[in-house]
Amino acid sequence: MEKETKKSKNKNTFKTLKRLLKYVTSTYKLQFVVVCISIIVSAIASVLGVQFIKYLIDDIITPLIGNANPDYSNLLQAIIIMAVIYILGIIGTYLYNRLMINISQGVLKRIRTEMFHHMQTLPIKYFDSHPHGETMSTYTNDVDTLRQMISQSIPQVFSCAISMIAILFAMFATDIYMTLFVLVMVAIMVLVSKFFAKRSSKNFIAQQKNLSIVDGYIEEMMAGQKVVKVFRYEEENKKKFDKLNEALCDSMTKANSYANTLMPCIMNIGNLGYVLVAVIGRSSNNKWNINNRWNSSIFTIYKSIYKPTRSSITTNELNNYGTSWS
Amino acid sequence: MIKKLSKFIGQYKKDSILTPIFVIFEVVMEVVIPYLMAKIIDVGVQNGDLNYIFKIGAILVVSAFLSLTFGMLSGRFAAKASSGFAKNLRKGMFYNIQNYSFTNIDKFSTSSLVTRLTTDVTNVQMAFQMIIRILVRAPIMLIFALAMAFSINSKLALIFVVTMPILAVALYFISIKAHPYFEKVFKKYDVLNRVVGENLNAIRVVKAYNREEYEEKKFEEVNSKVYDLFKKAEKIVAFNSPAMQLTIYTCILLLSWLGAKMIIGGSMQAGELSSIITYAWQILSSLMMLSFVFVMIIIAQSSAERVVEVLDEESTIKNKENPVMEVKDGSIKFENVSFQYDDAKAEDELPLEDINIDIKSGETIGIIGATGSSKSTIVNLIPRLYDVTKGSIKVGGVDVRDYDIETLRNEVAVVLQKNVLFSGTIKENLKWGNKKATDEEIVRVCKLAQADGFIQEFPDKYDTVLDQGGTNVSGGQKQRICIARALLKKPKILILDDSTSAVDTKTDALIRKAFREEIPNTTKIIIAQRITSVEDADRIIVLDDGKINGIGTSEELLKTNEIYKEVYESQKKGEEDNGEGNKEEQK
Repeated sequence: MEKETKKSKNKNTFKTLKRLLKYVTSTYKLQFVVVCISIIVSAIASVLGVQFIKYLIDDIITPLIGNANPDYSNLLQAIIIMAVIYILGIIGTYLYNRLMINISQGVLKRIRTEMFHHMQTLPIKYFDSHPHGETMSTYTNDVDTLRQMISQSIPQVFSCAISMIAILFAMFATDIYMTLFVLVMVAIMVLVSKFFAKRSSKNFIAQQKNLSIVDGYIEEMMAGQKVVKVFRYEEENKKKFDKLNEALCDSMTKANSYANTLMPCIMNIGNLGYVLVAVIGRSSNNKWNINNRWNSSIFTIYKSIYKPTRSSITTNELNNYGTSWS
Repeated sequence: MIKKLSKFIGQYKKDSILTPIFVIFEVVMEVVIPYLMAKIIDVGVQNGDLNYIFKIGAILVVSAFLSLTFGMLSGRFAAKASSGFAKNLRKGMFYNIQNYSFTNIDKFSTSSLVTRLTTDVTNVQMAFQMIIRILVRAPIMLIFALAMAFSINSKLALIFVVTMPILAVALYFISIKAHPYFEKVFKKYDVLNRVVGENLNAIRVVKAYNREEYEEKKFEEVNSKVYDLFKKAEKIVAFNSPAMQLTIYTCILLLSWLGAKMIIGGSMQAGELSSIITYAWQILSSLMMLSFVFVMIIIAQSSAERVVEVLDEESTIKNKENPVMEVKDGSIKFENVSFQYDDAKAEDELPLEDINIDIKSGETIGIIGATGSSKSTIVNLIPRLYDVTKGSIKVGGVDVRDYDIETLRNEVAVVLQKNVLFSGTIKENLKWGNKKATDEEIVRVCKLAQADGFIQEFPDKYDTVLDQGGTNVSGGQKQRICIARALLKKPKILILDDSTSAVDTKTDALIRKAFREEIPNTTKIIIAQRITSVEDADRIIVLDDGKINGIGTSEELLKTNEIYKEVYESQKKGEEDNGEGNKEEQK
């Protein structure tokens, strides 16, 4: 039975991601395409930027050292090219940030609309069995966590994927065996991050649930304030609230703990890998820079994928609420 | 504002301080490790010195573990500190809200308070977590990278010193422009919460009248506004990244140009240039982290202001010093009382004007009047749910404002027009009247309120669970449970605000009979629309447009009071008509 639920949870994650992507692409097809192109431009620009420095030093500056009357035209040309690449990169970054705002806010708006519409079709039984505050909480708190996922994570994942591919090519060109070794290290990192991500997601979902429970309680008490005051229920209220608040704090702490620990773990696995490669490989400086960039891209990808997965599961739950009742 | 908020860190101070400490350790490791890595290459690999590689490698491994440990610890402390901070904030806010008077609550509106307790606290919490982590790490890395750059070549490093303040100014302007939009966004969240909340509360009405489309249109309006405002705010913030990238890329280009010249001229090594540029990247990434935190702080600032507003708000209804702790009896005296809800409004349309009533302890008083004649307002003033604007109210001979609020409210039980029951069992709801009530007492008051009958018919009887709003009992049943709840208080004054409207006339009469016989010493005030509910009261007050139109017994008023006569006759006539109609049908 446990295996089944684990599998279904993973399926849910993918279903949700697919659903979200569908929202994004169906509403904003053209803009999304521009975003993808901008991300590619931006990522390539930053990779080129790094390579360029090396090229600059090795191929242009070094030959001129010691020259009494150096010819700066090559240098100038190189710098101008670099400037152009940088500018393209900046434009790319701005473009995709700016368009993602349109897309993410638009998708959020659409999700809220559909949620409200769907809510109107639910049977009364649903409203009687779910505290109002919990439902209200989904429109604000849960949809907000989605915002982060859409506007930051999707571009980040995509951008890092591009960087990774570019870097991978560079690495393969240099030394196949080392590259393979690095890939093994990456596989280890993936496993580790999965471990953390699972724990983190579980707790994050609990956090959002507790948040909505607290929301529900507050809303109910506020709506009945008169009765609370007349019957001097304030002290009882406070006690009940404290219990709920503690539960919320607890799940929040756990969720954030796991999320925060993910990065240090991955980074240091990367560092250990570096040592091993140094001991085994003994190669030149260039590769390490690439290596590090490679590692940091992976970290970001996993961070991006797993952090928002939890939020998407929560919102998906709401979309499912209705179907489970009808 | 920061001072006020930091008081709430409270018991999590330790965690809040440990976090930056461990972050600093982490940063130290993060600086040491690349240095070691570079050493492995430059010395070990270049010289083919395997021993050296192993030695440094071992140190690296240890450092990696240390870095991991520090990272985990700082992560965990940060989580504890920020979640705890949020918890304390919520607690502080909730507790303070419990002390609010209705005027205070009206000032914020219920949905706004809900938003502040949830969304706004979460924003502040996230900002706090970022502050104790990233706001510590990024500047340190920045300073370190700058220091290294200077140590390599001070002339070039000056480029940074010049460009960074320009960037700082740009970022500052961006945040100033974005801030007001975020403020507006959260206000719209309040409205969103309110619209959704209203819809949820009224879902039956919406469905019955097929008003779903109308509701959806209402929702769309708010939804669109949120969308517009958030977009505007984020659009401004989107300039952060390009501004930073522009700055750093300019630096790098300048470095390359000037550095190249210096290398060629022989005053700098090629390797040094590449180091400086590496540090430029580090500075860039520190700045990027900083800008991210910056954005969060901008958003959180609006939230923080809203949180502090709730924390600062002082209840308008407070105890005086040395309040009176005992209510002698149930006598009530209104002396030249006038009232209005909002002091700012015009003075000519007061909801209550010049009210003078003298009620003796144990009397049964009926209040009758058209809808909106401020009947409920009068009774709100007795337990000090609101305070009078002019004049005074005396209970038991003492001005209500001189009593200890708890004592006063103990002795005044109100059964409200809108009967609110909470999620929980019937017994739990009844115990709101008296936490220590025994089961016999509970059954007794339920019998008085004519509620025991139907409760016994439920399968779980008194342990039947009520949903939010008490939707699984009928309106009349709800009212009777509420009356029982009020009776459990054994108050000196019992106020029934139109609380038998959903109860049939026979049961209504039984309730009033029970009142007369079982609790003769309690002053009873009955507000009703039905003449029959107040007919046998000791005296009846007729309210019209916030002023007293007449006081007297039913017979007296029939003779002297126009309004009473009209209402009486129209209601009686209605009953007769119905009676005749029935008779005709029986034929």
